[in-house]
Amino acid sequence: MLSKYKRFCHQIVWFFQLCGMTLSMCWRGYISHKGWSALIHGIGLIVGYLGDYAVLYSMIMNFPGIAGFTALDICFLYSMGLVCYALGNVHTREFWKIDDLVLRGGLDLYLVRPVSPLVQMFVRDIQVGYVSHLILGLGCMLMVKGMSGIPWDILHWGLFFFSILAGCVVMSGISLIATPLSFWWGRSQSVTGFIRGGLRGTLQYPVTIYPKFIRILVYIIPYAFVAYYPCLYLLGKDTSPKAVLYPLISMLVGIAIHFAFWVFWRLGLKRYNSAGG
Amino acid sequence: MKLYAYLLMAYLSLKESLTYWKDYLSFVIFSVFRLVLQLSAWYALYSSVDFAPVMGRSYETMITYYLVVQIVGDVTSANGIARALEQRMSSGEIATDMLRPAAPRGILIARSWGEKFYFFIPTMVIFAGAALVVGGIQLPASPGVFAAFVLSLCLGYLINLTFELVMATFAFWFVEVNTLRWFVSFFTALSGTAVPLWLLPPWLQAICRALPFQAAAYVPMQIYLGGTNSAEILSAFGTQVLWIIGLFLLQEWLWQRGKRRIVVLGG
Amino acid sequence: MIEVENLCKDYLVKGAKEGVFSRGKQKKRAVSDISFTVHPGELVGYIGPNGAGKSTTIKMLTGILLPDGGTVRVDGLDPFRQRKQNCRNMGVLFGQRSQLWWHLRLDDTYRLLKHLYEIPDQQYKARLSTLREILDLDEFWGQPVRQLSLGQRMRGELAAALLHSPSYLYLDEPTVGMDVLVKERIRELLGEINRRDGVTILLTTHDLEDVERLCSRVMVINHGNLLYDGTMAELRHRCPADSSVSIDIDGEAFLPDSLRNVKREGNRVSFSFSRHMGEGELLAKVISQNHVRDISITEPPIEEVVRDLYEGGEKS
Repeated sequence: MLSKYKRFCHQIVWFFQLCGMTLSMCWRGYISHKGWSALIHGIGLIVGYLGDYAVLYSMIMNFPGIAGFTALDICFLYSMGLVCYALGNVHTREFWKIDDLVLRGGLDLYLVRPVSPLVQMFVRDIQVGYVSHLILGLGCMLMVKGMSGIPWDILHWGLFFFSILAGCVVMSGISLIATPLSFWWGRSQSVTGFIRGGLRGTLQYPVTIYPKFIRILVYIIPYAFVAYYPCLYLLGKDTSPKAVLYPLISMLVGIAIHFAFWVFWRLGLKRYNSAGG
Repeated sequence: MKLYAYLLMAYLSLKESLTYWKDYLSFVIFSVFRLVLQLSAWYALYSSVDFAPVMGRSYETMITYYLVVQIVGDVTSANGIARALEQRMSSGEIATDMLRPAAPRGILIARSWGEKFYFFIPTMVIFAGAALVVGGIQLPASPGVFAAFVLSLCLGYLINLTFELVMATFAFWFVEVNTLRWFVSFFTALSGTAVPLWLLPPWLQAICRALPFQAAAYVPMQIYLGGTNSAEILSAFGTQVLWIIGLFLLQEWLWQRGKRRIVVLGG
Repeated sequence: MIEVENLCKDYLVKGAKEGVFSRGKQKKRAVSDISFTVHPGELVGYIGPNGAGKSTTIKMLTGILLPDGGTVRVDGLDPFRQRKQNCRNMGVLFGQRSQLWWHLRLDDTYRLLKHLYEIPDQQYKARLSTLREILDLDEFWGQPVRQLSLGQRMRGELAAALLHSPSYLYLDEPTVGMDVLVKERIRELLGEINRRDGVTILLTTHDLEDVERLCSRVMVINHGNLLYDGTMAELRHRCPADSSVSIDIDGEAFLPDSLRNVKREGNRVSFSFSRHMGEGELLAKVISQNHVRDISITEPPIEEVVRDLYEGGEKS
């Protein structure tokens, strides 16, 4: 019993060491590849996204609001979406290449190591370029918080960080969930691409503005749980005690979608093992 | 004869794209969703003021603007040419391109036409369909206005094209096109394709009017929506032409210098 | 010891496109009833044309694919069901796929592998210095992988595959795309690794020369069937296909009448030649009777050897 516990702890430590190692490798690879232009690119990203903020803000500023959300609230939602999109996709990039990995045998290289291919793929292509999204999104959220004048107590701060965490977990699940399709179809880029990005536009507005079929869709592909529900309490739109629990529900949804992904992946890998690329 | 060769290249690139029909379908679905999401947002915004005019523009005008500007954006877009040119430069293919009878920039433009056509058809169908469903879409006041709109659309394409070439040649010396595009996208977001200029704060409007991007999207839309007299239309054309000439000369100058650089580097 | 018994594998092949939506599916036998045993320390070449079933066999030996029939045992382990355990004792190298991190130096990849395989520090250091010496990695140690030549990169890949001191090394087309000199170097290195560490090596290739220079034993496969298992010399001996000889001769050429397929182009004479038909003496005669400036003998291409072997197999 004790040795089992020790083994488990050892594995956790081992995994975090692995993450640190590949994070440093990805970072150095990125810098060695791009050099100084990496920095310029990072600034460019921020400038480009600022354009989106400008559009969003000036569009709504002319109106009293959208479904009860002011222009500032929308900027907060958008930032939340941006941060979760960035942090939630830090580790998923290798899965975006799954078509190629399956069709051209790159997956085989993961299968000849004494570590689960999933673990190896998570740490293979860590996106360090998302730092820009993070700086911009977090900065903007804090700015909106300052401007809106709602005083935040410890509960708010706790919810804020937990919401980001939950949103990232959901976002990561959304990016991953359809990728095992490649094991059956070979090319599944069109479907996974849609699930990953097709409804990204829903992150910035309250889900109540959409027609019914979209509202149902953002529950199935749970975009509604990335930014909208976790932010309701923070933005003071719903101050009932149950709104405090929304981030928790998001987290549960995120865990559930990852579990579904894991099952789906196992099935896909089984098929790969018996059929080959 | 030369024109025929370019048309053939455009056709081949169209056919090549069509072999990936699943991606094509997914692009169509993407467009439909983008449309529905954006229309919902406009609907929700205007319902907050009980569909009263905002900044002097009614809900119908806004929806008309949004639907038509998407088509304008697609028609006038020249995206991708700079990236393709950059790739050919970094791989050195540009040196062999220069030995061919067809101009290297011409080849890339012809190819982009094939793709443009490929993306244009579904966009057209989707937005025309949406216009029918939503209803109340405003049409140009007269055939003359429509003709002016089409002409300014063509000029808009040339603005974007020359700007794209400037970006590509810029990449000879400085940052990658991809990085450059992020910087530029701050302004292209404000060209009128995402939100009409009349909704922007005055100081931002002033900046936008000093840049070529609104001349490619917002100006044609103004002509389409009417309320401009023929003198204003003519001056709009004048501005567009000036932008085209200016950008073209800048592009040509950069290109000649860049070409020398390629020769020096030995391709 | 690798023990393979009655190994089978089927593939589902997409048939010709019949329309946009419907595609016929066919079952194709990729590996059919193969049995062999590889003893520790052997260096075995596994050859056959493209699509013969080489890679499929390797994938079953390494635990990537599950066999449809028959058994594989590597040191008593089932590579598929005991995948992780088996992985610790094997190194794999795919000639077409790099396992190195493109923008980083070699030692970055190696340190990651050290962590993945949980190699103890001491052992890692000792092993790495041995591999640096054997594979001569020092000359490009500080460079990022993207700047390495194909041959240098392959040496780096070899070190990556051998870092955890495996007893088995599987190589899938290790020399593909290399020029002659680099190929030769890689062959030497493989031979040395085999001799020094006693690593059992199984390599697939369609370059017959790889096998001829390197392998004590060769297996030939085509259409999923194992056609030959034995030494290289024996294979050559059994193969009735013609080599072609071309000779540069000074002055007038004296050629025996029994030479086959003679062609002349100026001073160059070329003709067919087969060891099988006792033509060795004939060749000696040509050489002694003429003033030979240069001679080159081209062995029959592997496809021909395999084809002859395959046709021979059908007849018997």
